[in-house]
Amino acid sequence: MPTLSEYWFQQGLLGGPFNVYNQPFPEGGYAWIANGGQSAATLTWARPDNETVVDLAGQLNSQDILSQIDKMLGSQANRTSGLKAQERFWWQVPYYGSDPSRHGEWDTLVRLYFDFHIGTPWYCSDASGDIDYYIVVYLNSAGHLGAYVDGWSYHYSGGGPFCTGGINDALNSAVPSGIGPLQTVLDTKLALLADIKFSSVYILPGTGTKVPGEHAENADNDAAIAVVS
Amino acid sequence: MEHKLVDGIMSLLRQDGFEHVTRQKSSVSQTLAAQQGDLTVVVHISKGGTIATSMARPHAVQTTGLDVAVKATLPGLHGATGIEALRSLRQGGAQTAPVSTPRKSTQA
Repeated sequence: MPTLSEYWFQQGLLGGPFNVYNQPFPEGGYAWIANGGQSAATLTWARPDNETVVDLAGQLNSQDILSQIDKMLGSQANRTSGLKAQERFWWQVPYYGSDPSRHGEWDTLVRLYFDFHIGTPWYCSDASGDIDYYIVVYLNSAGHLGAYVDGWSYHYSGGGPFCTGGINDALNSAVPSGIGPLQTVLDTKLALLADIKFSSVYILPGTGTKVPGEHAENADNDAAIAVVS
Repeated sequence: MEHKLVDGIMSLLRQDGFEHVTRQKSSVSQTLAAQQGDLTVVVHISKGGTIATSMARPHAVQTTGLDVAVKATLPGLHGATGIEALRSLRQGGAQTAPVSTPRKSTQA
């Protein structure tokens, strides 16, 4: 049965805490959802019955993947969160300005990221921030699902007054080196759907749940790949 | 970043009885630290300018040879980009399945 999903974002479209209400409806029928509360942005999806959802945070926070991340960081930094996912418009990606034509303006990418902490000598403050990878999700000309790592970024606070140079050197080496292993993880996870032909692909905020009723989630922490066969 | 001045300062500090003399090197700076009782010394030499605490880079070679027909998108959105445009959005979108206008990636 198709589902009408309405998302209410408290802070802005595709970011922060949100509530989703799922209302199943019969094929060719109608559905309605009422809301009396306030929100900064809303998003509505009519989701067909043959939609398949891959909850990214749910799939990627396995011990083997987290161990790979920790290995990549080595002794240079400590991971302080699980792997999180967020849907981003292309123009929201931090390297958008380097080549805006790289993607369509309203294409959506997945930001996969985690928090980190770096200890410093006594004369500097410790650094805390996030390391991010941006994933393009696509269908090929045969309708098969794929995803690739499109770029990376990091951002942190702290490290002053004298240690930011060393921190940047470490991150500039470690973060790009994670692209290869991450691509392997994506290929492995999506291989489960390799034999299925899909007609459309989109990204949903949160877990992508279709369970009827209301759910409270956070779009900064999770996103789901949805494909329709 | 190499700097002979740091070597000289390290020698002077050791001669003057400073202990725990350490040196941190990066591509843009060197920092020397030492202690003598309650006295601490930090010498920092850098190439100057503010060092950013963020970095973002596209991955140059990943898409080579990939068959990308349709990327994930929110169908129907249009107009200028940016947060102001997003705040003022009053738009809707729709698409049929299968997607009617698949496009090839134009990336090298």
